[in-house]
Amino acid sequence: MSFDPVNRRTFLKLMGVSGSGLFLTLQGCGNASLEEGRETVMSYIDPEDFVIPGEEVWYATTCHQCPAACGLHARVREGRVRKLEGNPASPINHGRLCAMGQAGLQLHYHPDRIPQPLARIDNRLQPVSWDQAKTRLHKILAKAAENPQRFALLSGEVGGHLEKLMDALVQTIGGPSRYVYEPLSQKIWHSATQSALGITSPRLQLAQAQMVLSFGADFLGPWQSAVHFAAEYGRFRTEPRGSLIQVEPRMSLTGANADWWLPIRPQTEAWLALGLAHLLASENKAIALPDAISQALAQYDIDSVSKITDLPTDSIRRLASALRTRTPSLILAGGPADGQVDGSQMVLASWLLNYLLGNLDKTITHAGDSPFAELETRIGSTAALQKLSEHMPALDTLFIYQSNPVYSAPDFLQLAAGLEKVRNTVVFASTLDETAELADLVIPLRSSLEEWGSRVPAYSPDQGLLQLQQPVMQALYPQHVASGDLLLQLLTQLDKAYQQWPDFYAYVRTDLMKYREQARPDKQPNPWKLPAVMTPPTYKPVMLEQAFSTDQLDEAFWEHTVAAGLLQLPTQQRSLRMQPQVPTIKPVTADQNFPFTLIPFPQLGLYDGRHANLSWLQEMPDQITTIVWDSWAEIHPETAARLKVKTGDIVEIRSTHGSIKVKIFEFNGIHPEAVAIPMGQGHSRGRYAAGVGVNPVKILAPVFERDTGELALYATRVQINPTREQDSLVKLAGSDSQHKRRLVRTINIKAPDFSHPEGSAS
Amino acid sequence: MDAHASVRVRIVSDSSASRVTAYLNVGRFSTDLRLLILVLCFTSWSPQQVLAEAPAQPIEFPHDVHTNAEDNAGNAINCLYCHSYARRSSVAGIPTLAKCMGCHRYVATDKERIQQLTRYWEQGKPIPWKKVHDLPDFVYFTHERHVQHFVFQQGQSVQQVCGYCHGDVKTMTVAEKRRPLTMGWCLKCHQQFQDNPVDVPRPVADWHINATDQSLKAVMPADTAHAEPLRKAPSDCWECHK
Repeated sequence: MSFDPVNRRTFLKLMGVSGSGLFLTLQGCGNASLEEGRETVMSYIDPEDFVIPGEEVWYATTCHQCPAACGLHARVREGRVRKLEGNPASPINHGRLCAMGQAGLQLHYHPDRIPQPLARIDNRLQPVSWDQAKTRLHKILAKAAENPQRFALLSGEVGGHLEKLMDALVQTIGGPSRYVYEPLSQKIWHSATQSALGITSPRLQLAQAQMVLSFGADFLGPWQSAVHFAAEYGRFRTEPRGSLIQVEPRMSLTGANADWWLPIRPQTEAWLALGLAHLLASENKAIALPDAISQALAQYDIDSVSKITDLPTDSIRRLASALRTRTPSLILAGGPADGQVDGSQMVLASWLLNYLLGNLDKTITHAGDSPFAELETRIGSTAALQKLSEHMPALDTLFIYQSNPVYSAPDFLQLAAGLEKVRNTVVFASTLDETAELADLVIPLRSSLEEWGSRVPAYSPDQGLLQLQQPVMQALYPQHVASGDLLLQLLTQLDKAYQQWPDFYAYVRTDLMKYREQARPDKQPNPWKLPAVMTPPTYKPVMLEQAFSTDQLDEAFWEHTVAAGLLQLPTQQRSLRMQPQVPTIKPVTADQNFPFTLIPFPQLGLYDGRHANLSWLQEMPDQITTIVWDSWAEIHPETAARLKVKTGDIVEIRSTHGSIKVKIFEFNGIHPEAVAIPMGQGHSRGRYAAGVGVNPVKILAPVFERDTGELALYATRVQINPTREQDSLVKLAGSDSQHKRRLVRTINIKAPDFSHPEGSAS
Repeated sequence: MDAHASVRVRIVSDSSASRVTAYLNVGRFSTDLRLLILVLCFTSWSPQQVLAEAPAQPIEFPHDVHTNAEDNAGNAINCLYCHSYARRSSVAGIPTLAKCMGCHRYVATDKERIQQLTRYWEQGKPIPWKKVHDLPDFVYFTHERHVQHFVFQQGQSVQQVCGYCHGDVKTMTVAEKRRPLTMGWCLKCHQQFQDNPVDVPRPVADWHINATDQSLKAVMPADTAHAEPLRKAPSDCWECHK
């Protein structure tokens, strides 16, 4: 960049002129925009009594930024939502909210939101009116109904009443095809847990544990329910302080908080888990294991486990000893541990360890049978996308609701090419993303702060929980039809029975009324109350039916539920039973051409890439490296030295299915045989996302988990090829070294050397 | 502002016996003339002076018809009836359309202005009123504190209290800016209270308006939800510049 030379004299002249100009503007013209009538002040038309201009009103609703479904309180002033906070009444997040939740506000006001429907005309997406779009949509639907086998609906995890309507739509059309796709799917964990415990989602009580051993489960990061586990973790770390041990090839946020972090060789976590099980089982005869299991465990002796996992035998013994002494404990598995070919086996091994340590019903409890069985969120999977891509050539019509598979799917699925062959692709999206760009019809969605909805969280500390979502302000684009209303309109076209609900609000409200009896004040811990004016002085729950009409009771129940933002019903808890299973894992064969394992890790921020277009989250530094607005490849300094590359050098990461170019970041918290690249960047659409970084998921190889068919996200082997290019990384932290300033002084406890100039911290 | 534009300045003064209206076309090179006129304008400010030409409102709302005394062809409606948020919020607010229609469903329905109002109501559209009074974003001003203090604790007339800052609105049709609302002007009251016990503001003698309403203190119970102990008007910077 070059500047015109400005000398001191010119500068002072300019300042003098502009200064007097500013003075004149401020003094002379007064409040010009006011006097010229350019400032308006709008009155309300007919507001609620509690709405006062200048005073805030808080509405309870539900967060949609990730599948955790935290409770929200939205601060609204002058009809505009201005801030989001956690709902203190929600047992998921207890009034807390993560950065992604906070950024929900930016998504709501995003300048990239599509203002009107788009249709492909002359092979180009062009704006059309809502009437035209609806006519086209109804025509597409009518054709789909004629040939249901050639119709499919793909969505992310939706849950609640919207999920119910989506299922109804697919069933009414008569097609078999409803695909639920989630790039960061927990399907392997849920499926293996179901097989071990008979339930998909037990309650994980960190706070009750003396020790947590986590195989790659980044529970302080994006694993399952970040805010909930962060609060649990807080209690776990209060007196008596529990210890956290994290075993993973790349240090996650949870790993950075651990007391002991063990860098395990990638793809070998299951070996360590079974090696520990072998040690514990052979020493603890109190819990009898079936012979078949004992025999199977025998091959995981400490020496071979140490060799395979690249962990010293001493460490493994210390680990086993810690597990024996600190009970009850909690063993978790997730992330790079279960995203493997033997992922299910890894999860099963973690449950076997919990079983051997007697943690069941102590730190792992039954969460109760859900009273909202029909509203439960269907767990998304990556296998669904694989099936869809196989089904695609036979499809005429594909509806894609709030999902961006063209971005988040690996290249080997060739999804974009497949989509182009589908005659009618209808994408329901709020911004024009990579998938919407290929659509034939784009239906813009309202934001989650503008419409009704409900959600049964996939991980919930209490199964009797339904999170309710309500519009907290009028739609920014009032002509946009709410998702639920649109689905009801489409259903009504096919089945007149759906005419009974004038809109989605009526549908949700009518459906929830059936829980009023279960939610009676005398039956639940968080009772709903009648409004003060309706409460008789001698109020007793049994009098409800006698004292009030059904309508009055319905209204009171509904008002309470909406104000609380959730509905909690009592559940029956049972004790857990587990049938240990014989572990069968196969060693991963090393490939000399591809010596590294790729770890495409998600962050609490951009998540799976869905938030890359939110500049707040782009600007938020990565929790470990503090890098912003970029992608990077973490490799161990030893590996970097061997490859003769250093931080900032651009390398090519190549798998059998593609390559990406990315900057190196030397990082001590990674195993030398691993290379880790954050997920979420590498978009081609979005004003804040396009052109930033790379998407590591694109080069994943078609490796699948053996039992579930899920994509093994962390099992792709890659090679690192240095290029001669170089660039800098923008990061908040300055340097990892103390530069001999002795800011933090450390000593080696085994061989203290007090004369050391800097210590070993740098 | 575009320096090439021709700026029209209108000065209206009631302080002299004859009403003087001057239209000045100020050209490209006459910024010093503008400065002179405007400095004169501010230094010679008087309470009855209109400081800015009132912007054209979507409906020419007659404040006089609503608030003037009944014997003066008005309806003697209390300011706080329509601007009901002033006692509860930092902003006084514009009355809701529902409130207007509460009366005007039946009252004066043959008038063009009311038919205009009804059209807004039927279409469900808010009226885009033009702002007359505004403070910069770096100033925190609260109507609630002032109204609670003077009206509900001291028992002054609402017209008088609103009139401190807004002038004698019952004599206007559409609202006009009669007070400069500058920092120095605010301090005329606020500084006085640093030395003296809390009382009516000193400039009230100058700004006195012939209030026709009664004190609300006698007819309305104390607003305990918003009541605060009487205290001196603050003059710390942070009280207004948060």
